Amino acid sequence: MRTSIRSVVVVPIVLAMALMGCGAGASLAPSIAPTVAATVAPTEAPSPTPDACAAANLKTLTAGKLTIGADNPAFPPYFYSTDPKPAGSVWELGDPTNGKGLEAATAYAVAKALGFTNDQVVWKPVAFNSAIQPGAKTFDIYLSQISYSADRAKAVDLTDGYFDLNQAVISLKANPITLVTTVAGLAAFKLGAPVGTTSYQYIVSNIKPTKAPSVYDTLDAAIAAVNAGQIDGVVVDLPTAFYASSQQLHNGVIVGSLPTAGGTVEHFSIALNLNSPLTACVNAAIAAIKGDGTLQSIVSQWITSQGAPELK
Amino acid sequence: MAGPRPPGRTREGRQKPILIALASTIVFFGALGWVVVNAPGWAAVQTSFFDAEVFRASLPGMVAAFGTNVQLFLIAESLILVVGLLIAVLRSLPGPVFFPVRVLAIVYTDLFRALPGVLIIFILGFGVPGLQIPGVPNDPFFWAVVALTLLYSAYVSEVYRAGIESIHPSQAAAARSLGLSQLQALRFVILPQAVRRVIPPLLNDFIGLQKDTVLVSFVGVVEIFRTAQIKQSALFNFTPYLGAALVFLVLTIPLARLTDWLVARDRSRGARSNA
Amino acid sequence: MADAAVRVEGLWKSFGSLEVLRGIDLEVRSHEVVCLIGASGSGKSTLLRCLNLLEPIEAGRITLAGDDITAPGVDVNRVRRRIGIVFQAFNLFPHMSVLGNITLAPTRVLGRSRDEATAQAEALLGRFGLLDKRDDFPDRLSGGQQQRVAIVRALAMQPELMLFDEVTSALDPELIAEVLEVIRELAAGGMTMVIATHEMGFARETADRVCFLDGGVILEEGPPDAIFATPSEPRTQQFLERIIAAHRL
Repeated sequence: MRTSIRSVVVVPIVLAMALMGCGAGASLAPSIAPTVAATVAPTEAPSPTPDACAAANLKTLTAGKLTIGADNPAFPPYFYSTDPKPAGSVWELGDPTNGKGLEAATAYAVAKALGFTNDQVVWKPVAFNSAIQPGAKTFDIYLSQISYSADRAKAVDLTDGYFDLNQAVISLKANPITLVTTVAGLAAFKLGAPVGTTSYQYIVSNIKPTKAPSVYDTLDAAIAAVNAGQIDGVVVDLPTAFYASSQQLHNGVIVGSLPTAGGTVEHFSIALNLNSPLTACVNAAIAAIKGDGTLQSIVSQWITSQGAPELK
Repeated sequence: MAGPRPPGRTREGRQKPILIALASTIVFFGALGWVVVNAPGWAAVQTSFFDAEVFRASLPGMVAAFGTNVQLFLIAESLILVVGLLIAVLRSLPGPVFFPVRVLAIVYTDLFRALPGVLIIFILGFGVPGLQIPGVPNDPFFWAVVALTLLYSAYVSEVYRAGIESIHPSQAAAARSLGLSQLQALRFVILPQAVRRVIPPLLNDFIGLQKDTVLVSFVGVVEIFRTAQIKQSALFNFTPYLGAALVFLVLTIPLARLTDWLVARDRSRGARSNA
Repeated sequence: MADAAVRVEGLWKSFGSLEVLRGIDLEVRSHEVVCLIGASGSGKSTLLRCLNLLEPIEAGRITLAGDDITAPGVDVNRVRRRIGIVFQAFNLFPHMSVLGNITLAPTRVLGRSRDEATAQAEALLGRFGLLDKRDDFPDRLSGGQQQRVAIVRALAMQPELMLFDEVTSALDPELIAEVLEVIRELAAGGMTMVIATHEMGFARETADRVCFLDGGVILEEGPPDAIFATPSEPRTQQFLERIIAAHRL
């Protein structure tokens, strides 16, 4: 989590203005410089003018609405399903519209902090791969477990983090990989991950397995491969690992969580179009919900750290 | 006394059309090139798709990964040529006793020509191994071979069948009249002629198969397309895809020209012979 | 009875609703040469194709040296080994050499060794002046040469009976003679033959018996002189008049 002193000072003021939900009269606009490396031009970021972050003035795709993108299927514990499934819903697994789950709740909290009501939030399924690639986006903001990386930040705007995480390895109970206790021990096994993810990067850069890892279009496909005995394990973020190992794998287990590599803890960021005019405001919103404890209570509510073995 | 020579017969008469064609080509492609390079956004396109550095860096990995595609299509093609022929022969067996066999062949070809390859690869590549039936292999490469073979044999069997039916019935009549059985007539007289005739469309299907080897990427095997995708998502640049495209072109264009040549040669032969 | 190489009794053949053969009775004795004459569509080709079971029949019986070949359960392939047929369009196998064409059936059907079949083929080719063509492919031969090869191909199976279906009708006039010469030679050698032909001159000199087909039946039959010089049926007379008018007799 990259917070700056300035944002800590300014947050309560911003929060007050945001809660008042009006654009006019907001005199002390968050002149937070966008935090380190989250956007392309740290110093020349347009300092939001007094009411630039007011909902009415935000240049969203559709005026008066905030379009939020998420991957489909939407994985717990980031999103949860609505039961019974609403008619016409295209969402598989989780349904962002119900606000349940870490990312659904965070998204609505950010929207609220920006001044949008729940009715003004529109969800849109967008594939993970395309969300992090350069190119004009069909959403205003995107939340689906996008880990921050400097390379990615050159292609899209990435906000400050809203969640820190570690990667983990999941497999089937009967697989010998479950006996491994170190990262080095994983190298002998056939691993898999979805394309373009930090999970895949972790395998290639840190685990360095002797057998080339299998790469899939989606996490679902990778999980199907584990169930089919085609690969020994999938690398995925720890919260998803809890869900996938218990709900999607047949007799699945978490082999263990993987140590942070390179010294900096991975965190999830919200993605926006490169050089989006909304980025600064979204960062302000994140800062706001961090500062007032909203984010913490969301995390406590939805993320249970039940204790997975830690691989060394 | 002979009249004046027609224009095509003089040296100038032959050179003039060639010069015009040359000039026209240069002007056309030159103008096209100028328009493209000067279009707005060309710089962005060039960086995104034609980055020389990215190309150099990513090409070796992709050529290496292409080995998987090559392996896949060589193995699959060998099987397809055999299975396709088998289906075609089964389809042509005459008589009421072979009716169920003919029906099976028809159902098979209808089914696998109707289903998209992606569907088949998912069902076979994930679904079957997922059943964990003892003795059934779960290797995704193996199932990709099976999927491609089932998929393409349906088309190839129809090509063979068209070839078989194009052989005049008098050939079969002559063969049978000598005492050859139906299968012997097929084997020694009909099929050798039929197969020769359909080599161009078979080559065509082979070219299609080479491209469809990328289907194996859906079940996790890292081949050229996936490699390009990995590089593209890491470098945020589309040049790797162009590199992959180039590799495919280098392979398929010579094959396409070979097919054209074979067709042309066949046509000129056919004009001479009395078949 | 024992003399009959082939006997046809009450043969009916239809194509769909079209009755082509309407009760054919024919007996061909061993070593006999029977010529079938008649207008196009009179059923000559169809009759020949029924004889070697290429066409299924609606009614009737065919016996070959006393064996009923139209009985149910007959092994058609075995029957066809005993009957040789030569077609109007030659029907040589274009993907095989002359030698290949001739040795295919003896090796694959009769089980002869390649050497045996080759020796026999060469003997036959030599007999008819075609030995130098043995390695050529059919498209390099003239029509007359191809037809002669087709005859050799049929002979290689050593059939009891030879059928000729208008074998010179597709040939250029100057090539007809060489083919007729081969047939004459076979006749002289005692081969039992049924020949459908438009070559009336040839029929007159070579046939032991001529059958005139008309409307799906054998309208008239008898020795050539009888049929050609003094036909009794009016339709036979009409047919022959047309032939003469066309300078074909």
